[in-house]
Amino acid sequence: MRSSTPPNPYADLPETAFWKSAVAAHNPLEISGLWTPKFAVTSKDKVVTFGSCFAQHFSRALIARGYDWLDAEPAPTLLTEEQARSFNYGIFSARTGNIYTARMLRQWLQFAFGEVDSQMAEWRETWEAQGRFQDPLRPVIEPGGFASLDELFACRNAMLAAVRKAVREADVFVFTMGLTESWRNRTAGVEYALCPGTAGGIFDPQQHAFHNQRYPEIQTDMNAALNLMRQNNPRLRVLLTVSPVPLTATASGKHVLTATSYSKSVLRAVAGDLAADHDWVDYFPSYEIITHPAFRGMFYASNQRSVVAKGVDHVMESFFEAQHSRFPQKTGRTGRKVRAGVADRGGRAVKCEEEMLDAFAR
Amino acid sequence: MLSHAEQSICVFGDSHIACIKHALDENRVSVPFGRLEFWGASGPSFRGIHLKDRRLQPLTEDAQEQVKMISGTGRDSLAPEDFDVFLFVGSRLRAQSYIVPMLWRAQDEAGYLSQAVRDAVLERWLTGCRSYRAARAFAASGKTRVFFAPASFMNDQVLDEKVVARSINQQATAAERSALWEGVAQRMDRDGITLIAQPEQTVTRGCLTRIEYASSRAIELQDPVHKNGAFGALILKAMFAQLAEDTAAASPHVDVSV
Repeated sequence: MRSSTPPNPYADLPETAFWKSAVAAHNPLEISGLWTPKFAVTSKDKVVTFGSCFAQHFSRALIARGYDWLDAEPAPTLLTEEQARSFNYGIFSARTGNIYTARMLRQWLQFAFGEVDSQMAEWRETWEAQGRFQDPLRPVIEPGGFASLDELFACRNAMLAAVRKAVREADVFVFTMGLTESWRNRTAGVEYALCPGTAGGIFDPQQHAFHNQRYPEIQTDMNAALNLMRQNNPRLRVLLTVSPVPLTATASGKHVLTATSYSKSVLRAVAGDLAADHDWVDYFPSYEIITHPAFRGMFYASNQRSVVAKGVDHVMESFFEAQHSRFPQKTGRTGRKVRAGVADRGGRAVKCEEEMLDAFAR
Repeated sequence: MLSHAEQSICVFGDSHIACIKHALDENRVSVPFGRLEFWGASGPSFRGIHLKDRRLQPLTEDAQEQVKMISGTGRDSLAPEDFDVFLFVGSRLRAQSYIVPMLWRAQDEAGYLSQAVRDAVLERWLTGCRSYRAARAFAASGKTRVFFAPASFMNDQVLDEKVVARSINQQATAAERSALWEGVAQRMDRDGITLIAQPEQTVTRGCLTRIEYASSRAIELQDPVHKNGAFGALILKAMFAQLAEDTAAASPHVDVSV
């Protein structure tokens, strides 16, 4: 017979608090309760998505279920879906390309909201090859490059306007944190999307420096980015995830496996702390669902890097299920695809710029 | 080169060719040609017209009936060599689908498009239209001269103001319109087709058509699409002027003004 006072703090905890009952006793696909959402994400909320390539799955799943994914920089309607994607429209909520790091997110937001001039005099680097121009901040955004510098900066300004719109009009900002490793301009400190010389430009060790971001600076950058967004939209809620996709390559001097472990661990820790610090920031554990040993690696392709469709589906089903479980009145039936969305058509491959490293780095 | 009096012209299209017919019936323009015929079908029947074996042919019963009525000559198909000049009017190539959204983007600070994207959009607008592909095939035959007048902007005072508010850039300027039409003209020229753009004097509120160029019963029928004889006359005059220039260029000492 149990007394009214628990014998210890663990005695009355739910099953999910115990490994044996929450994990070991279950088939991996039946592990549940991994996430208790802080806030509802409903089909009436405008959701924007940015970040590393895994973020693209979020937008596709939201659209497929009739959620209001905000595309702040839509492709012209005449373009086919394939054409639009070739120009990197409809992949994120603006044509930022992949945003792998906290610094890059902060940088885009600073440019967008005028805290920093993206064409600052001391750093107006562009990459030219055969009469075409690449934007070092998003080198693969325009297939074949831009026709002129004017066009490059006009397109960048349009994208920055779209970022402003996305932040100001969104109810939920989904950001997938991807990497800690980055490349920066030594003079201006501006961070590149990709290492110069991989998908464009010429690597110059006098100008281009490797930087592996550490916990404190990532936390600082993320807090600055979050504050900037909230200044421009006080009702904005933020949902963080960490990409489960391992590094393609590391420049840290470490083995790519341990470098991946470092990178993801730091990002995961920052995301967790940000969620703990702010009631309007939440962390959704897609990273754990894919990577944790409890799932036995079943969601990775044979290269142990790419996430298979089944894994993506399981992540998103888990997302909607958790939402419905926590907010049954506000959210629709779990995991039910209500319509075939734009992003669901054609079984398109997720566009991952980091793959350029594989193509060009060796 | 044949004189105008010896040349023949075919006005091809969907219900938009009605404005050309009105222009002629109302004697708004004199035709310096030996022969002018209409050929086409309206509404859904137009979709039954296909290019097959180098000839435009009505392949459905509806389309055959429409063609018979509109042609009035018993001509049951069209080949490039049948006429010296073809004027494609409307024919499902709508300014509403290209010029209007491009102007709409122009007012949006996030709407800028690179030239490569603009080119892709234009290409898709043109080549995604079956009639345009037919016009291109006719022009490529080298046996006829081809003009194309896309369906014009929607009619002012008829189009729902809610639609206007959410899709019409009412601040669009003549220069912005001109730049877009020029791009269309250049692209069509590469296919051997001459664009007849919507005459600037017919445009109002950015990219709508002035009500005085709308079909006579536009307001009564709430018809935002069709135009009247005055509009048709401007299209014909634009084409005749271009043909006169062609003739003048070929025979610089002969006055061929119309």
